[in-house]
Amino acid sequence: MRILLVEDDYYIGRAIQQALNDAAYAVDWVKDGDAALSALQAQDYGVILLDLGLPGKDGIEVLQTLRKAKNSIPVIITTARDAVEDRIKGLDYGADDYLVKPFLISELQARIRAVVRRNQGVADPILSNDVLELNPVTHEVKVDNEAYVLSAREYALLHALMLRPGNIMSRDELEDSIYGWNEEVASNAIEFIIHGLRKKMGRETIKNVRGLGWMVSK
Amino acid sequence: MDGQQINHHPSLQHQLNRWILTTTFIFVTIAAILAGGLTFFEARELQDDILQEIASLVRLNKLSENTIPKSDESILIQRLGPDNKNISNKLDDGLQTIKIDDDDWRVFVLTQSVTQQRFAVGQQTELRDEIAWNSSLNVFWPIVSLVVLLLLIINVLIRQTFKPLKQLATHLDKHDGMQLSALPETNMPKEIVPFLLSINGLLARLHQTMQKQQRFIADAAHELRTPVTALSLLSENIKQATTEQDREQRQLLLQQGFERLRLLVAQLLDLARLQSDYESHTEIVSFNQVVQNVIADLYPLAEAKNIDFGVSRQEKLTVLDKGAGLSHLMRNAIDNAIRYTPEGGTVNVSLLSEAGNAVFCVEDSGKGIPETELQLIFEPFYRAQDNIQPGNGLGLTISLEVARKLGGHITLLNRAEGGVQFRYVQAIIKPDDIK
Repeated sequence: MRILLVEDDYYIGRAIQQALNDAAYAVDWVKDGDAALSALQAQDYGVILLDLGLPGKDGIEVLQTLRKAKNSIPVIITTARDAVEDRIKGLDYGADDYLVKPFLISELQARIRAVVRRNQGVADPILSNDVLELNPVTHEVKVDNEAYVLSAREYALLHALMLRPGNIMSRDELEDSIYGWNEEVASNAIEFIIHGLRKKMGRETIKNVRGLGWMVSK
Repeated sequence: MDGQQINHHPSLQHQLNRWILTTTFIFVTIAAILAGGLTFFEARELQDDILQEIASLVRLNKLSENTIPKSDESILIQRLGPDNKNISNKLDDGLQTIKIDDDDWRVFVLTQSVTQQRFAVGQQTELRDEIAWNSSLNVFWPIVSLVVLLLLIINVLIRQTFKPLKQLATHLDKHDGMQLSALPETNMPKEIVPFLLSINGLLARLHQTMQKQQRFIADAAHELRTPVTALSLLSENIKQATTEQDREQRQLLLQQGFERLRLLVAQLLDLARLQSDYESHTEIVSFNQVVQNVIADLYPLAEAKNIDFGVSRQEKLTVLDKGAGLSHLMRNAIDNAIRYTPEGGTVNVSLLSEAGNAVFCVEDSGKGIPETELQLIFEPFYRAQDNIQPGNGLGLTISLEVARKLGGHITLLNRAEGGVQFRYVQAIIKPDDIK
């Protein structure tokens, strides 16, 4: 999944990007409101992590612009403003969650999982179809009651497919959802990851539609 | 302790009361004694006159000893002669005081011209004095009671006049020290209003300072949160390192994060020291020497960015410095200039004297500060927009504080040819002033 990180502080930005990369998210990091809005026009994101105190357009303005344009992408506000009024304001302007600095990476990740789940209309944290059960917390996949641990990239790719079982995703879409802007992508990277997944879970779990892309069954 | 101290303060109300009471008492006593005494003696004279009146009636034989009824013992008429044992016949004619049965009597003795009979018209002295005393008391008491009434009224009036002051004190007592609202001026006597206005002015200034301090503390807490957040995240990330090289890179980032926090804390302490005004060691320094030291310290920074960094003009100047504040101010100015100047740019420092003032000037070839931000930039924790340089936004606040302490003045403006000019002006201390 691809995440847009809007954070003006260099060290916090670096740290969040690093931590989310470690957890197999693709992260694009911008430092002000205008850059955030142009990134949103150019790219689809699974979640936005939005700092409120930004230079230029502040976080609330970005949120307003976003919601006015009927963009329903999940937004988690990350800010040092902890007054109740600020939280209420943030949530009322259309944020899905509110995280006060300083926070732990594990909490941020749990909240990202939760807002994505809610956004997909899934209550159960475990993503499943009739063959696979993917656990976003442990990064484990279950096939025929056999559990396999996935690497970060494998998880990210399978997660992208499992969010919409029965939907075909192209190579570009898959690359977008697991690699950030500054990451180099080898031309056969997606095939390589799918090869690894199939080796663990069985060939039939991920179907290839020639000329279009890949999908998992409903 | 406190109570005693309060008692040492003279009370206007008590003083007024005391003086009015004492003076009135003295004057009224004198007046009452004079009036009473005069009345006393006048009453006696009047009674002597009555005795003479009666005597002249007796002389004309219009009154005799039997005319006055016996029951009225106040005045007595007796024929003098051998058979009168009370009053001797040897008394001369006229008014005199004699003793009869151990009692003092005032008598008027006369001789009837036709019959040559002698009579005495008398009155007991004790009775006479009693009557005189009564009439003097009749004068004395009304005066005293009116004066007592007057004093009571004055007391009430004074109390009433001082009431607004008392209310003011109660009002002030109710202040909790956090909310400094102005004191009410309505219904206050004209004499107190200027004093009240001064106090209200002071309260307003205090309120402003307090608000500024509170805002600063809130901002400082907020600003501390940013480096702490970064540190907490960066330290968590170290666990996730996959290779040795990756771990080293993450550790380096964590160290830089700590360095930033250290800098922020150091700057906050600097600011607190500067604002607290004490512990300021005043000395006379060479403006040039301070600048030279700062330039030497910062030279590596400029060198790393390939910046043409140097002094374009310098005059020998001596100025006052407190607690090495000048070095703080100059370091901030030059450091900022280097930060905001792109690779290969220019930073120029100059020192000159201008109308008895020492001027320190730093000019850079950066892209300047948007006009809208030129004022905001002096606010604590304000960082210029699109600021990629890690700073805490406290440098200029500290410089302002130094300028305030040294009586100097800072101006920041965009140069026509691009970049920012930082200008600091402070009075020169002449060599003869030193001794």
